[in-house]
Amino acid sequence: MTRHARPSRCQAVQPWLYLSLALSLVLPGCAVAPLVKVREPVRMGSFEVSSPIEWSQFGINRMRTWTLDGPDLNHLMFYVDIKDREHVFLQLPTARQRRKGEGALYRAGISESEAVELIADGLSAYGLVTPKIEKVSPAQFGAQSGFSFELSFATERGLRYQAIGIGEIQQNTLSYALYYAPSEYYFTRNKADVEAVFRSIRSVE
Amino acid sequence: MLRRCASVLFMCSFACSPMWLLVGCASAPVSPLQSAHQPEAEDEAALWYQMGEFEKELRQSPAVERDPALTQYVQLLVCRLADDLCGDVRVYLVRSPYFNAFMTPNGVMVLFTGLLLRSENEAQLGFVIAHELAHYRQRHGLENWRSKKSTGNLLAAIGMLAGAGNAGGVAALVSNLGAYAYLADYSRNQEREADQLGAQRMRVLGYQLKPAVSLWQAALEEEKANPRGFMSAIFASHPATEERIENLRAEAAQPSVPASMQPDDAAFGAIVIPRRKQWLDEELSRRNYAQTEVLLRRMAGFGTGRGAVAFSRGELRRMRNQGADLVAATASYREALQYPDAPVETYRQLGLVLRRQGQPDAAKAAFRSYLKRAPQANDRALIESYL
Repeated sequence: MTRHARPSRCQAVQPWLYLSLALSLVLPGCAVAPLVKVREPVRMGSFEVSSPIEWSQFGINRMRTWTLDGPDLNHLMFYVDIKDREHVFLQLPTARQRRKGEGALYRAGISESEAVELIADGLSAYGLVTPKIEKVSPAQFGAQSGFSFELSFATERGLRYQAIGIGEIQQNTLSYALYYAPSEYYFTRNKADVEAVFRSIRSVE
Repeated sequence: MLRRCASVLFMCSFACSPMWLLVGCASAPVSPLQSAHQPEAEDEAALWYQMGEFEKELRQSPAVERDPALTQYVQLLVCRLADDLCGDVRVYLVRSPYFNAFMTPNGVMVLFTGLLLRSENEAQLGFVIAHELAHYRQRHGLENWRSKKSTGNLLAAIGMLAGAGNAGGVAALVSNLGAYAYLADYSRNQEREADQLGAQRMRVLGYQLKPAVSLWQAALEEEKANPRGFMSAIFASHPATEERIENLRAEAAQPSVPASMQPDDAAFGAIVIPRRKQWLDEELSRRNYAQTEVLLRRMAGFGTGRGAVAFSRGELRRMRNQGADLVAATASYREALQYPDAPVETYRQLGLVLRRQGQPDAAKAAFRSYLKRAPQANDRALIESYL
């Protein structure tokens, strides 16, 4: 594949994306504006972010997905104010998962590296192949001390992705943003824009 | 998507042809497979075509394990068990923690790393392979395919093939196994036959059958720990009933026959055991703690890889974090450090659980030990921030 060859949109599958899209459709009262405008603050949970470029957006209050060319090609997700025993992708746990604490559930008191491990396990449970934690480092998340991380994984059909993320654990809640795109072309193309979004995060409470 | 549509159209046009209707009525038992077999009937050709499409996807999948030493070892084992069918079987190792193995009617053998993880020795791994090869040799898949269609389940069978033919990667494989299980929904007689033929082949090759009995029992224990956890599709398609376990026990009690060779447990030890740590990590990532706990209890008795097993037990308790789990995790990590195969991350994880239990000095000591042993760690900056 040449540098500018674009992978097929059919190659990647993100079930949670469709779940969040479905939620935004069935919960119209909670649905968000479909467009993120340049430098216009977007509120989600107890945070606000802005972007140097426009994005398409869907999701509900604590769970947002931004994309430029379609979620298989660039996917910026925000999950904020995740409480103890909530899933890292805010999916509803089954009764058994709730009772036994199974699945990628956030637990109050975990460390930053354990939070990244949970996110990677959550991706794995969604069918992404061998998510690998490439790096975890301390970082600023708004005005707070947080963490940054890098992941890599592949889709079921072999398309390789790179991911970067940023997060924080404050007052026993987890908040994070995760951006991923195909390693070839797309990841690098908008990495700087995404990093600018990460830098814009600020608490509004 | 186009390919999926084309596959469905192909199957539909095929299904609607008058010739097919005649063939569909024939669900007579098929004769066992000979080496270098090629499909004779049109319906078998269609089945092979779809399974060929499935294999194309599988070949490209990043979930397929490409480790040359492991692949070579398993291929040699399969070849020994397959005898004259060796040249017809293509083996794919799939990186997935689920306990599973299956063969398609055109000779694709898929073995999940979850099966290798659960095999204590070559006899256990070998029996599952021999069992699958027996289904393949007796053409049980084709028999079922014909039977389903002749009993009015034609559309469901077509749907199954369309799904299986487009499977890609481990998750699709796992989910499609529900569909594949439809084809591999073997009758009690077919299972009995596969067990019997598999056991006979094992004995000819000099393997003990008692380990196979204990693997089956252990897998059943895991399944019981979370019956809805879909631990193994093996149980969806090959239920390990008490009757089957009893039959295997009876086979195991038979007098030995002159063996044509000796099991290669040294090769199993050299190739499989060092890879258990990675497979255990993948098993833990399922976060299905009840089943993994049963597995780890059994693996503690393997007598090999004790450091990796103790470390994984610590990981399970740290992740689950219920009741006194963090205290138990601390003990498991400390136990792991008694063994030479304890991974270096044991120190970091020990530090994390000590930190959560309010023991900062002990935690820092563990973190320092970790950084000393892993100076290039990808989380060095984060761990240093804890110091």
